[in-house]
Amino acid sequence: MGRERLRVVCYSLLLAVIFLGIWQASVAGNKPGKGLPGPAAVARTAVEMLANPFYDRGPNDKGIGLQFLSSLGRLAVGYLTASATAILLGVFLGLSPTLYRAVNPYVQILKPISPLAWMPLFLYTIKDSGWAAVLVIFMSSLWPTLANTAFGVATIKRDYLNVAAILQLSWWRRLLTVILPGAAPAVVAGLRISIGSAWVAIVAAEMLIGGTGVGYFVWNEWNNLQLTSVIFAILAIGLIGVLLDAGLGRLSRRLAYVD
Amino acid sequence: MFLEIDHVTKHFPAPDGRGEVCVFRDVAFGLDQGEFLTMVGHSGCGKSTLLNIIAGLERPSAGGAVLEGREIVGPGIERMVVFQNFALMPWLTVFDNVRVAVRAAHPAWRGAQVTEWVQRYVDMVGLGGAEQKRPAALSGGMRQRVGLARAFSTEPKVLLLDEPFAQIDALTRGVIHRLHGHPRRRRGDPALGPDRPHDPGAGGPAGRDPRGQDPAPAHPRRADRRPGIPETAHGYPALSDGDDAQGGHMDRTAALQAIRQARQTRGISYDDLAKAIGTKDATYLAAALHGQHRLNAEEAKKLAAAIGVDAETAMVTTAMPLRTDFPLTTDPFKYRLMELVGVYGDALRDRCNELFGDGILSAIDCVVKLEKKGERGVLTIDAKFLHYKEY
Repeated sequence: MGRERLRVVCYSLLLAVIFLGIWQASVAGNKPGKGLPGPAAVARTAVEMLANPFYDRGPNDKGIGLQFLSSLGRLAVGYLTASATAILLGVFLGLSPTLYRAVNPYVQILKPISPLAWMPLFLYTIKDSGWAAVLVIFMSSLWPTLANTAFGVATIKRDYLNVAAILQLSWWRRLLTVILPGAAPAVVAGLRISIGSAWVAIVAAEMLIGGTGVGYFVWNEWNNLQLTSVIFAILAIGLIGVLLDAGLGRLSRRLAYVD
Repeated sequence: MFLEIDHVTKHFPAPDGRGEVCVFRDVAFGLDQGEFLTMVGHSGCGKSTLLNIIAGLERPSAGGAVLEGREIVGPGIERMVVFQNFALMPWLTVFDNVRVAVRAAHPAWRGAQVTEWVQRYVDMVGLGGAEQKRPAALSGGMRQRVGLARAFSTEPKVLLLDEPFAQIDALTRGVIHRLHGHPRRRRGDPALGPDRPHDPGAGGPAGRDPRGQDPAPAHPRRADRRPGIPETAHGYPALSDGDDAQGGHMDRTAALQAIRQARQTRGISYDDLAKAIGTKDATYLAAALHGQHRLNAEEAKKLAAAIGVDAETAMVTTAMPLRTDFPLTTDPFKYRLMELVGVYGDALRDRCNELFGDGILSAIDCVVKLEKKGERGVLTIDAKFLHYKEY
């Protein structure tokens, strides 16, 4: 470990200690069960919950592991279908400037809409709250990938496309050997933004639909006034978000290329 | 005609958005199989544009290019291009860059067959061991060799080289020979390439001789061949042998021999000699000592001092290269690509200057064509379709 890196880690740990210290000090005077819980209480809950994360005692009492798995399952379905759709559409838009300019206004209108705003429509049309949540994820992770893919494809160097044209590659082969790898860095940047917004949206969506998932868990624990659980869940959500992003960060390093 | 450029005209939209700019007009020439053609001209005169039209990457504004009786309307694998900047896919390894082309050329081949073919060409360009490298990890010369391997591996009918010697290194030059001499190469395919007129005098990378260190002993066939004067079409005088009259050749040959003798008896290696003279490349120097390239006066003076011949004798190395004809061996495509642009580079430049004067601004300045006439290659400088452009 370099000297600089060591220093960074030290500062980070110091910040954490200061934060936890202030937090603990500010709640020290509270009677047990009243006011905001301190870090020690949250830690105790965390240990308790992590000791048995996958228990299932009926609809309102499931382990935190199960809740996260159900959220991640929804995320996977919504995010993957959205990404596939966005990449495919993005390729078409990127290859055709005319099409891009024709579609762009609609994309611009749809992009700033909170994915949760679609929820009533989805609930009304498909009448299944679970799938409605998946569709919310779909909407939240569509636009960044779409826009980035279109940009990435449109900016592939003309030379590479010329080579593909001279070699008379089929459409699929051209897509797989030239267009997608050429646009890959931009596409993955889009995927990275998308997974972030999808993870943000899932918590809110699950609060609305109830049933399972980490969002529902947070809301349920709030209803039970189990603030230690709420705080622990918040931290866990953040941690999983970091892991998801790190995974894609790895992918982006692998797909990067030097022109 | 195998390939016919039929009165091709190209307009581009003017940069100011008003009207069009004519790049060239009514360019017409033809190429038979096995012929080799170089376009010479200043930058921006439309060499690459014409090349792209033949490649099918651009459409002419009028006229057309016809290959084997069929008009070229789009790009095709039978007309491979080696791009100026090689256009290697940076996300693919060396091996995969060539493999894409081989698979495209032979869709029916099985994996092992493709792999073997790719490996053969990768080895041929001397990149065995670097197969798994990405282009970013290669030098310019190495990248170019990957580009050449990719183009040759598809065995195209027409090979289009866009400024192919921009990044040339000594190794690449040998490679072009090997590729051309490859037994599986289809014979009689024409090649085209634009090339800028070369910098005068010594030191220009294109001026080095492709055949390596000491070609004379290695090619006994050549020893008994009298250096000749080339024929040219259109009644132009031969590409010059410098100021030498034909009778002067023996003197020059003798002088060169004396220089080589002096070098040998003194035991000075070409490398040392190159250092003493201050040129970078010993191969090029060796070529000069065989009359296959020229030194500048300064270098000739240093040469005289280094090997102890009198300055006047050493000055023969500053004359135009001797070898202006070349025997045609079995494969007409073995025309020495490098010889044309390398050894003849200076001759071409001088000839162009002679024909058009220095400040010419034309469309393509001239088309240099190499064709087979009996046992010899004949270099033609064709300027009949020139159109002068006002700037």
